[in-house]
Amino acid sequence: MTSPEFGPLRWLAEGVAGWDRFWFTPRKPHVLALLRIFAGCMLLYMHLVWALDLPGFLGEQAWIPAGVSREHAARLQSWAWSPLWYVESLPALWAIHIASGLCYLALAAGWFSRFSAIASFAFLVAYCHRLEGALFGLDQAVAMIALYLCINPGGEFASVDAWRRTGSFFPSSTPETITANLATRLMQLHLCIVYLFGGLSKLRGEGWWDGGAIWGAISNYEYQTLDLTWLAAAPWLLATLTHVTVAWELSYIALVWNRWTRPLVLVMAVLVHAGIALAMGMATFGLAMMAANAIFLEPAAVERLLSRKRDGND
Amino acid sequence: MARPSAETPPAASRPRLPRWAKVVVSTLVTVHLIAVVAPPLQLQTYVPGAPATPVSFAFRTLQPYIDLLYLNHGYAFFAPDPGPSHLVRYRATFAHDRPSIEGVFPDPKKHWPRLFYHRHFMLAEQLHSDYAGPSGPPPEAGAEHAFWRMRRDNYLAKWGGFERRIQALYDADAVALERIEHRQPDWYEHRQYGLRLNDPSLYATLPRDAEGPDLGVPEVSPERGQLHPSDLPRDAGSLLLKNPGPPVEAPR
Repeated sequence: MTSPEFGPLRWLAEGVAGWDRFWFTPRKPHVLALLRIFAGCMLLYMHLVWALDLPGFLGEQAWIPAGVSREHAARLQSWAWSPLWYVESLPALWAIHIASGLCYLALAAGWFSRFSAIASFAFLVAYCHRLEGALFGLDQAVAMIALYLCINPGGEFASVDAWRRTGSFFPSSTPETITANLATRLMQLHLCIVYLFGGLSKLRGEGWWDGGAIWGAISNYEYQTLDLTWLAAAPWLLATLTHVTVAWELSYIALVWNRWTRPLVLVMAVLVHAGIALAMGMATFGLAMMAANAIFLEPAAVERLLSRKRDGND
Repeated sequence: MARPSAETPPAASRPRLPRWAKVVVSTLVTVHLIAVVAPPLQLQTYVPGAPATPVSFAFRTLQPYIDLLYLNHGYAFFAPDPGPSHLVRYRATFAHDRPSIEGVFPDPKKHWPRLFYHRHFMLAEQLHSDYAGPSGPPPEAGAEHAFWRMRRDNYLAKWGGFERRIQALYDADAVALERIEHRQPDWYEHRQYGLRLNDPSLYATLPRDAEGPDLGVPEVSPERGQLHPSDLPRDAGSLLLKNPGPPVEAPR
């Protein structure tokens, strides 16, 4: 079949070809493998923190009892559902907690990667629906990463699965797959949507227009882990940081796709999230968002980096 | 020699999908992306009294999928503005001679590591963001009354849960809770008057139940960035940003 040379039909054909390239070009799994290791470790850490007070979060006398959580979802006519709404005995809760912790460990290690990715996501969502009231951006960021790892967890690389198959944790040859590309593209677009609405919602606040919002964040005593209040001596700098933050969030969705502007956008992401991690006591959230941004790295770059390291070790 | 793994395999050996599979996958990813974008769009585009929009239709249609996959987020981090913090102060009392125990959560001295602290911080923050006063719209208001009732019930249920938790923690006979709001000083207050971030004048006690009408419009908590769009009454779009919150008692 010959493609049309002019007009809307040609644009349509180019659009279809572009869509085809975007979604169906096979991709190597290296970045997904790194994200799988990160997600497994972060989930395990989050899980250990819940375990510090399992009765307080999930038990019969929890801060938010299972019945309250369940009724809240029912009042909202939500389709959210959690098996943890029906379990309050501590031995049963510990059994579930240990099982899910082992699952996160398997995800990080890449042991039965596909199964452990799907099971990890299912456990995470069950906990999130039960623990509504104690959650924040960290849970959303990790759930986003875990969701797309269900499509392709990068189990071909840096995993027990790879070792069992090839005898090496880091095989020199890994296949390109369409599912790796689908998982990558979906996570990239999801992240763009997160930043777009992060920016749009800020446009409704006065502080993000008059330049005072960053002061509002760094002067919040309950969040503060690093004293940046000396910035009050330079209000112009506070205003600049405020406006740059909004501009970066709003433009992320456009600039991250261009290979010339992508490094700038990703460096900004690292700076913003490192700032949140260090100054506002949310190291976990900051790390999760930085890790999510890694989805824009090229697998070939990661592969080259790891190969150099491997060759150096040899 | 170039590493074979770094090379792109010949086009013929790369995996390909048949056209019908591409159509199916394309449809699925499109539906999924609509499900990702619908919740924040619904939250941001809600227009008071407006009829159903394509956004609300998409949200309602895909809500089972959105809820089950935990996609129902507004992503409104620190928006519309970074606001004050909210804490919970408690007093556990005992029937006999044992002295009462007072505390505040979150407490960085007790709640460690930081994520553990943050979980308790969110409990206090979200109790506040769930606040709905005792006087809601009259029953004749229909959906608005039902909405207020729902939020009020949820707020009281959480309050009761907190009381029972502290009672169990200390084996206390009674527990009294208070909500505390801690506002930030403005930068010029800090710079010119030396007002410290934890100055006592910045703390205010909020009553459990504020008097006066309350439409029960929820606030988006500072970095929770999450609000169920169905939390909103039909005319909540503008109120969401203007809700003054409950009256504030004189600071202690």
